[in-house]
Amino acid sequence: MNQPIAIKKWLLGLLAVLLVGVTVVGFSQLGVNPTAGSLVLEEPFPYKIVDSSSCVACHTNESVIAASNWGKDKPVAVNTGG
Amino acid sequence: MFLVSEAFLETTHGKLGCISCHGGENTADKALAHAEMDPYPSSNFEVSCGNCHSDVTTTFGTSIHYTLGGIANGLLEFTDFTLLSDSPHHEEVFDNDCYKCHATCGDCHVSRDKNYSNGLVSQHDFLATPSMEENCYACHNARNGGEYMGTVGFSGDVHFSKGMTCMDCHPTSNFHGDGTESYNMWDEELPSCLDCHEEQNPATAKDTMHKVHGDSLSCQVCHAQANNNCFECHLDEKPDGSGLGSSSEGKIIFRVGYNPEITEERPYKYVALRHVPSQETMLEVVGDNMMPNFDEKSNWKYSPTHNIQKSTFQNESCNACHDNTRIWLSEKDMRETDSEASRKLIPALPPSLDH
Repeated sequence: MNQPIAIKKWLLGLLAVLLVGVTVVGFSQLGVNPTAGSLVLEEPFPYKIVDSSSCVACHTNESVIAASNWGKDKPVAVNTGG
Repeated sequence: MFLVSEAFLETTHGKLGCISCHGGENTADKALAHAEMDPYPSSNFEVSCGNCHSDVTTTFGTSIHYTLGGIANGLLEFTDFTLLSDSPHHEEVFDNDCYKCHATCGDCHVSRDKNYSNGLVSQHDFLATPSMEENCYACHNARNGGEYMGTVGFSGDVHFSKGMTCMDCHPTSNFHGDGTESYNMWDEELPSCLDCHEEQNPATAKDTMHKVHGDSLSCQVCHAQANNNCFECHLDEKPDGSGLGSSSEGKIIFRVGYNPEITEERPYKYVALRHVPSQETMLEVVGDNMMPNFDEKSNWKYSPTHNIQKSTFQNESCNACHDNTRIWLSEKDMRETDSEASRKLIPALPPSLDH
């Protein structure tokens, strides 16, 4: 067998293997194995992400929060009778 | 306080942005930012939490932590609901004495309870398992929670000293509900000592003490210590005129008496008791004759006291219990303010040794 024919056969074989592989993966994503594929859509996430950069700027700043008077009048624990 | 950690911002909840749950405005103007802000988004839990956690929120509306059915129905057994709800003080009393224990998702999983110092448990981290010290104790501090942790009464519970928390015994349904509205906590699927201590089941026990007492004693009769009892509860106008406030007298004592309500789950003849804050005139500031059923209900209740120890003074020997007149409920314990039904729990003494 001369060299160009051997290369051609090898390339055809590789193409066939790739074709079979793509077909199998495609089927698995389309429902044969639904958990494997990214084509299965997840439930839409019900919350919108809302820009809260101003809230974050203050509420992650220890000195800003420490300066607040909120809750200073509340006792650490109250005997609730419970 | 409401300091939020940087790490929280990287979590699923944190990435949503504060406004997504709390509302308000994304502005540096503090007043404007907070004007429409909801500090308790989970008070509307079906919407705020239910979108993602519907497996919990569909039953939570029936949970006694949400309905406070135990408190409400306990009070209703004594009183006349129509008179109570018609009273102009009704809302005020509810806000002062009930609302702060009325829990929604955030009160256990994110923040400290309103009863406590409020604020966040751990810089807004969502705790899948709530903190016993920061959350449960906030409401259950004066009795079972305090007794369990040893801050009320004598030494704490042996299970606490072994590192166990409320959630180690109580099933999730006690907190999240199971879809059925309970009348009070006794309607819930409560833990039993036998869940772990199966070998002490009186029906099959090998040791003499458990075998001879059979089902006649609740576990607490032998294994609990003194508990916190409240007497002479009264609702009055506060001296500064700012509204109504309640007061009562606490006393750490240990009393055993007849079981006020024998059921299939709790068939015991004798149980540890606890005096609950109640007297016939306690609501007179609200209206006349507010407690028409007072004498039909005992002020002493079955107590699942949570300060269990293997060895207690009353289980040292047979005589330490049978001859110990100081632990048995007696006429001497009855106050003028107690109901007639309370007297029915006084056991005949000495308790029978015929077993």
